[in-house]
Amino acid sequence: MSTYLEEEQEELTPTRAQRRAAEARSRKSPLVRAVRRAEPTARGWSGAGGGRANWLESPAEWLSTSSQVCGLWPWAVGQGPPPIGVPLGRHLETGQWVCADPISWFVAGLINAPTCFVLGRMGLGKSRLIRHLITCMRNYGVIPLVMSDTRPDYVDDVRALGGQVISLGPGQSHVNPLDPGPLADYIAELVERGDEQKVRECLARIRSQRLNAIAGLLEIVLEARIGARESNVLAKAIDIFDDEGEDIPVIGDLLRLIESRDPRLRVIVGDRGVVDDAGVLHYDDNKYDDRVEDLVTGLATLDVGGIFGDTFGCPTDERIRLGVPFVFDISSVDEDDTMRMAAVQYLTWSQATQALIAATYLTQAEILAPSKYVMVGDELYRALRALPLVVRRVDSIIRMIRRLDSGLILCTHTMADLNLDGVDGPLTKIAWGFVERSDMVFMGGLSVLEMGNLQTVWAMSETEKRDVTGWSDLGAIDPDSEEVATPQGQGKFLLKLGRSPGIPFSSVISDAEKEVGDTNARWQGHRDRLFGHDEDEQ
Amino acid sequence: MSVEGLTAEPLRRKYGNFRRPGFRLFRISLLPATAVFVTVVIAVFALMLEQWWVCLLAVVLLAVVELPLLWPSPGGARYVRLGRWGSHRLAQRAGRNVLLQGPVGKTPDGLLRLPGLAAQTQLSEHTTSLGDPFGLISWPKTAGNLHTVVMHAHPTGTTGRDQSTVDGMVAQHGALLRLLGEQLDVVGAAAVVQTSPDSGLRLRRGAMRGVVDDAPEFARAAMEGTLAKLTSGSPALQAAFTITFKGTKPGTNTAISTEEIARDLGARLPFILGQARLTGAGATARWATAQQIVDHTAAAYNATAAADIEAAVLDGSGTGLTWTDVGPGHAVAEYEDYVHDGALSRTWVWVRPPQSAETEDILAGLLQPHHRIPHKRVSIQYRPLTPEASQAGASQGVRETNFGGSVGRFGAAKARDVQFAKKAEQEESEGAVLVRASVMITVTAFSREELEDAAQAVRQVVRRSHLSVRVARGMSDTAFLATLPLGLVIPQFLPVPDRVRDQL
Repeated sequence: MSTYLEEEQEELTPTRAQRRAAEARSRKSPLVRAVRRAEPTARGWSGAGGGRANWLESPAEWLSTSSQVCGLWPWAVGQGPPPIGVPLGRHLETGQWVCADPISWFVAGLINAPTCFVLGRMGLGKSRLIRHLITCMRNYGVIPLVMSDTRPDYVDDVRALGGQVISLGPGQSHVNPLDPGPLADYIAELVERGDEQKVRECLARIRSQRLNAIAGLLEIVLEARIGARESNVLAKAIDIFDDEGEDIPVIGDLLRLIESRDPRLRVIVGDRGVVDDAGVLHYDDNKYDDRVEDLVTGLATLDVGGIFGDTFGCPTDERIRLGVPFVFDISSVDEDDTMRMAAVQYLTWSQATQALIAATYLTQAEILAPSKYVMVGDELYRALRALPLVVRRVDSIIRMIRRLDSGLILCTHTMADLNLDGVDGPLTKIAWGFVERSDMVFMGGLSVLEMGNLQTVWAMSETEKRDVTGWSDLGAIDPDSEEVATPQGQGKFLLKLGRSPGIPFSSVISDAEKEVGDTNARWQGHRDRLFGHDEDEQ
Repeated sequence: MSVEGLTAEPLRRKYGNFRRPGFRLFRISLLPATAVFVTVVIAVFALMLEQWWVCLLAVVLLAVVELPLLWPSPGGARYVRLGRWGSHRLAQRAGRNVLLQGPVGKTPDGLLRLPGLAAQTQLSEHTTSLGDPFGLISWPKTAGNLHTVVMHAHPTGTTGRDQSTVDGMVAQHGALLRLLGEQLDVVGAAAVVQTSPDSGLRLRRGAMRGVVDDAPEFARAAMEGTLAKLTSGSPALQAAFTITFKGTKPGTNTAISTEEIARDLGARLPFILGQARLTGAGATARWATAQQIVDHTAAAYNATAAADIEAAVLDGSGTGLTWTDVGPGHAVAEYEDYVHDGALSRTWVWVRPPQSAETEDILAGLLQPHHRIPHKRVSIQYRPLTPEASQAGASQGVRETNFGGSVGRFGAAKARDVQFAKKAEQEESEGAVLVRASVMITVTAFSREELEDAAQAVRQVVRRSHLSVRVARGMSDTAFLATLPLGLVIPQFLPVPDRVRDQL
């Protein structure tokens, strides 16, 4: 009878014989015995208190082939992600903690850019997550700059972090697009240092920022692109104010200067005039007026008497302070007033970016202490939807933020929000680019219709799709108490890194954060009236 | 669910096909059956020769001694159970089940070695040909001069993965076992998945890294508040895969020096690691260094000091422990439980795998953290046979099951066994190797009540995983050692070779 273990047995028999022979030999010599005493046997120390292994029995062994035994797969349960960054919550399957934030993960080399995108339906804790991220990231010295807050969600947190809140909207703070911005406050310091090169750079930067701001606003109100000649007129007009060294101009000043047909502007407009026989220069007023007509209309719209009231037409009340968190609260702007929303969104985004540029620049010039910033663009779709023309500008802002090595958190409800001009439209592609370029994506509950879009970008597996769509279900109502159960997807997110499998987690936040600014606070009074009890908000 | 939904559900790949090696006659193994048979023959002959007393004696022996002792049962035949109990009582009376070591202990060298079978082990560190360090545990007094390497795995689990990907990983796990069989000198491999309550130290250290001094109070409160909620009640999972190699010259019993073995392994380990990383053990799986092995083992025996050990490892100062510091100072191997340095452990060993074919996540319930079983270690032990041994084993399997099937009624169970053996033979001819598998579970607790509660939960979890288990009685110390990621292969310590044991 030949068995598969014959070979082993052949080996075993001499081994035992040899071992016995060796043991017998060693027993004879007292020296060997003394040395052996300091060495445990194969079964451990013998004698009382030696803990020698006693009864030995092989565990029951069952036989199968390697292609079947692998079904006893030991790796069916996974470990959580590494503890890097802000603690966010618990893994939905294993209960282990989950940590992540774009800057820490970027620094650790886990993602290629410090940007993240949050996708998810309303009311499932998107803002909560972002607020938690920025609040906790502040511990790492990362300063959050919230570009626009439409709810307002971030105001309380930013205040609690000792930051600055600038409210924009009818009858609230004023922002002058021609304001030189936070950089201007530091020019004196640069001049004092005698660093002329830096001063020149600084001035050039301020000039282009102001020009971009006013040009962008004009594009929005005119619903057309600003041509080269009009841009030149604006630039020249701003230069004229700077040369005259008067106070910071407002839109009204600019409008009046252009309407006054200043000779310096006439050259730019292309109205060089005709010298008549008497040697007198005659300008063609009609030609000038025709060419600046759009500009004048646009500026008049933005000015105090226009549709925006005094939002843009008055001097800036409060400049962005560098080195502290801030938020532009635009919650009082009517959502349906697309043009106003677009203008305000655009202005806040560009002002915030300017603040970031200024901070980076001043850090390089060693005027400001180095810090990291994270820009927050919540409700991205509002900025984009407001006017497609903004898309390119938003795109350039986002590229700028990336170039400046700042963190960026963008947020929108669905990918469909980003379908701006049809599935294959050029603007849609730009908008999708924002998401596609984010290595880190948090997905909350999403509708089934979204899955096609998500599939395209992230290769979602079936399980992930099931999770993410399941989370968009509404909470059930207890028929007895009429209490609404927490929606299934409340605070649940899938942390997706590129195309690798996502990490589903349920977010956990501290009580301190719960107390600060409840997202649904505006409904609390109504809820109390209807149901007469407080609902425990996540 | 709609009908389409039901029919669209793809068929999951299933695994199973487990067969108990050895001949079986009416569920009795060959050797007990032979004993019974011989007694019956003697009785019949005595009857024919009219030797009434001999006949009576044989019948009494058969009815009173042999059948009750040899009759199989899930916990082992009665003679095995008697053996466990008897040997334990003897050891207990002599005080041999107690381990008292260290400076004031009863062992000669005053060190804190690992107990029992592992007292002989030595630990060294070497580097692979790619420059990665790996710790090597030597078992110099075993037959075959065994050496173990430990891989620390970082499994990502099935979360968010498509079934096809999971199937791929499981197939790679099979390929790894096959690769180990083809190494010719691998005597055993084990995957150990350990779950324990997370100390929160890693989380706190990770989250508080790089915190600036001038952070606003609110930010600090938010962070602290979140950490406080997350550091309590979170489970931690550690996973390891050990491979134990024979350290003798091929075909002989001449031991090879550890340096030579390390050199040889250094060249082979990178390839094995590459394969192991595809099995779902994580792309960052790597060989454990000697110090890591020391720290993990010390934390297992001295469970109350686990948090201190973790803290020392995390803050970079290191534990400063060596291989002769990791054992328990005081340990008692009770009949069922193992008492070691203030903690209590009990180990279960499987008796039977799932009866039918199961999907790859059958063990998930057992592996994943369980709130009633805070400290749990599951060891899945594989002993892959070499391709030659597999070939012989596969055809012997067909012979054994055919033999069993030829006696008595050919029922469904026997038909299944025959079918399994034939399938195994076919898979073997397609390149698979035979693997002897077993599963052991160790639970550690800090009081009897806690242990009983956990034991209750283990019974439920095991049932969900379709396993039958028994408590490893009479060898609680060795069983505890066997589920540690140290590569202990118990059959290597047994004087009876596998092929004899299979027939018991």
